[in-house]
Amino acid sequence: MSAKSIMELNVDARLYPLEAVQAAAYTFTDRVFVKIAIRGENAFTVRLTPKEDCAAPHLLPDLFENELLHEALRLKISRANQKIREYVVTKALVSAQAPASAPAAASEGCPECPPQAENPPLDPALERDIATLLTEIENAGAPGADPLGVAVSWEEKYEEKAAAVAPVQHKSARKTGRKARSA
Amino acid sequence: MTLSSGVVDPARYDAARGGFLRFRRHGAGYLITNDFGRYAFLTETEFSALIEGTLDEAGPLYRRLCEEGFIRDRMDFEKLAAIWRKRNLFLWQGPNLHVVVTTLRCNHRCLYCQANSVDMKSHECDMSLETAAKTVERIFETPSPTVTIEFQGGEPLANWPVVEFIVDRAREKARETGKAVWLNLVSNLSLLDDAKLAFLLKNNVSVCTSLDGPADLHNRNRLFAGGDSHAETVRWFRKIHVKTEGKASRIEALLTVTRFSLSRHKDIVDEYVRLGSRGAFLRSLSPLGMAGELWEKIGYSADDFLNFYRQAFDYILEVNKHKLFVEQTARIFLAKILTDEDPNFLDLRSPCGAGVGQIAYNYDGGVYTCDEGRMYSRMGDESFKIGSVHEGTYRESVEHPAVRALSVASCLDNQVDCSRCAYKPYCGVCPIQCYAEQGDIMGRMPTNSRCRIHKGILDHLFEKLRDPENEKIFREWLRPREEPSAYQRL
Repeated sequence: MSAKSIMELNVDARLYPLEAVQAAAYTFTDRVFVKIAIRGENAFTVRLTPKEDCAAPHLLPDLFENELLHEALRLKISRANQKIREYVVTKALVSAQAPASAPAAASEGCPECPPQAENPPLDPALERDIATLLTEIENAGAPGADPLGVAVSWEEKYEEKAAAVAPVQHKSARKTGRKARSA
Repeated sequence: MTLSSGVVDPARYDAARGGFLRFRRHGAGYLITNDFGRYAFLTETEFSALIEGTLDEAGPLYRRLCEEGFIRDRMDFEKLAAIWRKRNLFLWQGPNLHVVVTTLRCNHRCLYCQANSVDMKSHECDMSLETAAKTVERIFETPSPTVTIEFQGGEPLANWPVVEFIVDRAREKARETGKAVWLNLVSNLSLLDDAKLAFLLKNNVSVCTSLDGPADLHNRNRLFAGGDSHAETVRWFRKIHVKTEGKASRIEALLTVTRFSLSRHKDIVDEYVRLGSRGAFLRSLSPLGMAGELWEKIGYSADDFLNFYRQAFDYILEVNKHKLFVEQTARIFLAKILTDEDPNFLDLRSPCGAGVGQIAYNYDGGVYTCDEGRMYSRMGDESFKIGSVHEGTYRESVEHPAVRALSVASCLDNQVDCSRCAYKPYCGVCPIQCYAEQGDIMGRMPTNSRCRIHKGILDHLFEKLRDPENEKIFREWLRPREEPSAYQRL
């Protein structure tokens, strides 16, 4: 690769966080070798060295700048919605273990959630469960954590009734795992 | 404001109103998706308006986006949590697919064999009845209320007494435990006879075989010194197809695409149609076992496969103008795109099934995270061995560090590229294939061939979904069959 084909881009760090620069660079690693360096307080330098099979290398700077905008937008969307997404998933995880007749939960457990269009009924018990699960999630990573009971054998789960985490009973429980293997 | 080439200025993002979404350039506009599997095609103008919070609130697009969870201040948490839960029910099930390798012996020498089979004289590679008994006991310790036992090899029929024993014992265990059990035999069928078939049908054992297309192509891929592999496969396929009509068990055939297949998409589809199959499963080569060793002769690039796939898929759509005929890879993706019912295809979920959705039991009682894991064992790498039926416990196996590592690696939220990809709700990674291709279970998606293939297939499917006539066909593919189903399958 000749020195001429190496491209250096300057990125304004006041506009683009490093995470967005790294994400954009990562998507280009099928076509280029990338080096990111900090230049002063308010800039990054991104050096793109096209790989041998890189098609249309002259377009790389423009494509990279567009991708940078996309990644910056993705980052903003992700950060703005992180708490809401965690809340919805936690609610889904916990309510699968709540009685089927349990009333709907409210959004009170989520300080960043905007008010809903309709006021759902409150379920304090479920909210407590969510708080408990959130604590468990925070403590996750400890060896032996098995919040979904995947490691619990059939006998332990159903013959030792206490505190067993019952699997969800639903019509799709009939479904089986699938693979696709040659004979 | 829209920048050049339709790129939206992130500075104008309305964080107070914009709900979570992932996006991807699609044609002249954008495809957006969210955590609930919902999607929408937007023009550049619509996308900009959505990001900037200026969409017309009285318009049908805004109402639809509200309904589907894209607008932050209009989210119905109860409904969306229920959708998320439904789409991820497999998280609560535990391992329900149990692959049992009854023998490594095989009478075929397929060019792409992932299992590194041995010759028919190597009886030391047969599972013993003692090991089989312990394997069934271990299988039924899974917390899953449904158990699928899949006989693999080698050629599993080469060790028929063990197949017969496990079928009988599994039926007994199902009665004892109250679990539902489904049985599936993956076989080249060349060792089948009427007595064995009668036993399989009596016990509702489904059969899955390989058919690589017309005779010349099939026999080029699947070398069989004992005769004509294609003729044997077709003969038994037809017989079982007739005998299982309207029953819970059935036969299906899988296609493995080699370099020799790339120019034969029409011949291959025609062969499946001619046999009366309800569909074809267009699968790319996996770089494991023999396929990895012969890659220079039978392999191809991801783009070569995608070119083949698109041609074959478009031809299948033509066939659907006259008769229902399903492409199964597409069907799996479409189930995730058009419904909230996850088909629990173990390679296309997050996390993948390794150790938490499936377990593989080798002929010697070795327990592995998955079928690919035991195949790696044949390549001299025991990284994915998680125990033995002769010692240890079920819990020790599923809590094994290898299971944890594969779960972390295949959880798409942990993948740099996947976590931001618009296709995340429909996709999955196989860490062991990443390990085979890139030497790292985490993989590197920008240069990962499987990722490129999945993105290419999904690009094509979403392009086709823009046509309402195609969507009608796809929904027909997803309609459950009327007869009882042992498998959520074709």
